[in-house]
Amino acid sequence: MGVNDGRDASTRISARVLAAGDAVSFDFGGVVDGYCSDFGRTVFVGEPDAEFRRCHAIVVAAFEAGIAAATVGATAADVDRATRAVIDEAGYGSWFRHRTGHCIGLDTHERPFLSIDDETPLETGMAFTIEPSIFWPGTVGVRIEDLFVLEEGGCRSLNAFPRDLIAV
Amino acid sequence: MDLAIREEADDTMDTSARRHALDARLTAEGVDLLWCPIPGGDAEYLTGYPRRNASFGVYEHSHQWASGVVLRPGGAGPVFVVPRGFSAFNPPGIEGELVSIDYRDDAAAVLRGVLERGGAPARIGVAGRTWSTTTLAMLDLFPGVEAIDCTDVMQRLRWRKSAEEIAAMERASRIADEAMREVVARVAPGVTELTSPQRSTSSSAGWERAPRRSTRGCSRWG
Repeated sequence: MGVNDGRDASTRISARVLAAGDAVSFDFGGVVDGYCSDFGRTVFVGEPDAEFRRCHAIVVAAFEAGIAAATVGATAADVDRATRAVIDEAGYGSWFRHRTGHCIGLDTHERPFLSIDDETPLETGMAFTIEPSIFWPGTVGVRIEDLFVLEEGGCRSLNAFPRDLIAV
Repeated sequence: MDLAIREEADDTMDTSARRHALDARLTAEGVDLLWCPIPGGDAEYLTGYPRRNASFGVYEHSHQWASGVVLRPGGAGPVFVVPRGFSAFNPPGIEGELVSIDYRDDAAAVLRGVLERGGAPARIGVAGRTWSTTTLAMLDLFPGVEAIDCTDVMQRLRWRKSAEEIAAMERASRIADEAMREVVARVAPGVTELTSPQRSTSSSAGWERAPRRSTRGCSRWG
């Protein structure tokens, strides 16, 4: 997505040739012993413009707000509220168009959902994604996604990939 | 694109303990038995009956609607009801009784025979992703029987992961990390979107043999 490409994130993949100014979001996972992972990063082709840099920083802040909110006893919806507040306050709330995340295990999407409609209290041992985004067709597209497990002291990422802005 | 290899049946997950935990929940629900469709996540969780990870849409054999596992409170072992065309290439190889439905069998009669062991059931629990065809057939087989939606029972049973489950997902996450490193190295002006991920999924990140028995692979979740 980006200023050179007006398509929405609903267009998963195409034969289009990448060019400077494109932002490419990857969202995939592995499977081990039947158990799934789910992961995402966005790669910018060329020198990122100000809008992309700003949105990347906002998404990282939202992601970190989600991590801070994901504690034992908080609800799944609390995590969604935390990430959404950051993106709302930055003025991009209209372009965060999905839930914050979902639990995961043998199925990629398991309950509880980190979604505004799910007030399930979080418990230790729950594994879930945190994956805020700003997907604004024709303007900017950024998402960061890690898989977490909730422990007594908070949630721990099962991924080790950096969350810094990636430009190639 | 889904790519996965199941090298051997997993033996690190304690499905017996899971069924023990299920017991109390089924008793609380007041159901005579729980039906989980095969293939399915609930059946795999409770019995280890593996799913095919690479599924290009739904695949179906004759009598597939009657494919599942019956679990009863009280400690009885699982009873698998599986069509011949499916079981021939997807054998459970795990604890439990296998009732195979042959091509020319009356699948409803076979299913009835399993479900009414110990007497006709009054309340049948069905896992949330049971085919409507199966549930309707059960209601038809036993007039007056109640079908109880056990979606919540299974979700609550599954949502706190064990150390073994977390370890599997951590390994799956490291595969994703490694795949991402390879992908980033391939993203560049002039490369098509189709080129970069496909090269990566066939790379060593997703296809090295696992040090332990495992199912590995890379998938695009879209």
